[in-house]
Amino acid sequence: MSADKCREILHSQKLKNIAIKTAVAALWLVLWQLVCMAVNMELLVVSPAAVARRLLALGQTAEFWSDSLRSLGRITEGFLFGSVTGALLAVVCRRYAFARAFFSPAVTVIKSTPVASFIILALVWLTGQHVPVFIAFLMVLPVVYANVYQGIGEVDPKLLEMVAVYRMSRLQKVSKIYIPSILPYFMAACRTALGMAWKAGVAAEVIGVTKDSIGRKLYYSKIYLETVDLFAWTVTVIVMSLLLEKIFVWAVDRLSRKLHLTRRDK
Amino acid sequence: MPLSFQHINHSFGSKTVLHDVSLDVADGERVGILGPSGGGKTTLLNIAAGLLRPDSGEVQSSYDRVSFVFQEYRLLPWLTAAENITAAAGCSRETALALLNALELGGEEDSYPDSLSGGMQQRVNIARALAYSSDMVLMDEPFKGLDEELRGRVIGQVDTYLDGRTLLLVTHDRRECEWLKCTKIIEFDE
Repeated sequence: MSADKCREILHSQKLKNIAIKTAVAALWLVLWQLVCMAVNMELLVVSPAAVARRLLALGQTAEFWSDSLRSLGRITEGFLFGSVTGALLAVVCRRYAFARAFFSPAVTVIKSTPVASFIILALVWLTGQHVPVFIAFLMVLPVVYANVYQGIGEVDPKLLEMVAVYRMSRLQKVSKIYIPSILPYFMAACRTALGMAWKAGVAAEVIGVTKDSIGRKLYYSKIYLETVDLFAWTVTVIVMSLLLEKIFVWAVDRLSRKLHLTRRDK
Repeated sequence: MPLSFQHINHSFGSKTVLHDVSLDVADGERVGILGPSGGGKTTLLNIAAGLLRPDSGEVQSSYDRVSFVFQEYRLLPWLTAAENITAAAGCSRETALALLNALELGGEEDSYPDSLSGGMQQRVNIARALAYSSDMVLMDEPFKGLDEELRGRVIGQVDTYLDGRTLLLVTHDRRECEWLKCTKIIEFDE
């Protein structure tokens, strides 16, 4: 099959995927509208059009962008800190049995403890601005730790033998074998963890009524029964979460291609 | 002797694969190892490469650098054919390209392993072993899957690129030992 023909098929598949996604999104909007019409009470369910109008109005205020970006900054900070710490911890625990024995119960406790308990504790321990960062960090750490830990264990021993025979340096062993082998596990963990970081981070902002945050706005929506604001801010969280995931995946993908950690033809 | 196995025994569980094997290999010597599947040929190569310690017996090797044509290719899926050679062998891209050309893989240097046929991946595996500046080359059924005509040409190139290095060749086909001018042939029993 010629390269042009391949490109043509890929292009048509891409268009088909976009069409399917657009149709699914439209279907969900119609369903939302139907539910809204059936309930017929804006206090309970707001129409998509009303949410869009409110989002447009909010988008014209500096406060909307300031609050959104500050929340984004906090969640990103917690996410990055959690993913790096989780990955490093997995490496250390794979390498040293004592570290594994020491940290395993702590990771299990973090995984099993209700997020609300951590938020309340964090409110006691930390200042308001740091609580969402800490909570996002706690949500991300065990997910990344577990996946990277598993990824290291799944590295093909036959490739490690090849490395041993050819006397490849330790740096090469890490960059040519370990990182490319673990990368899919790390990325899968990050995708899952990002959503969790947003959910838990915003929950921390709501409970802590963090200054200049989306969570604070959600809290006020609840207090003043402004359902349209609740929906608008929720949509904002969803959009920002998806955007952050896309940007993160794109950035890691670019970097890993540049460093030859992954195939460059996909 | 640069490579010497004395009274080597090795088992996997209850299955004995090497029983009282002794072999001396001179510098630059080419040794063919024949025998049925599961007869311990690969195990002997793994011991020679230092990947496995025998249950008993003595191995002495003065070879510091060894290259290995593995039976299952062991190419890195995220690197191209040329990168697989340069990364493991530590050679220049030019050397890798010259070897790929010699093994009739010219134009495939930027192909990833999964887009190459089994025979092509095997030749990348051979090119990697030859590109590495080793004192001894271990080959585990290196020409399996190559058609008769291509096999002859590849063996000709391997003969050239071995360039005085010691060779241990595991094969099922006695003719390969002859084509590669093996001066010693040992046969493993069932």
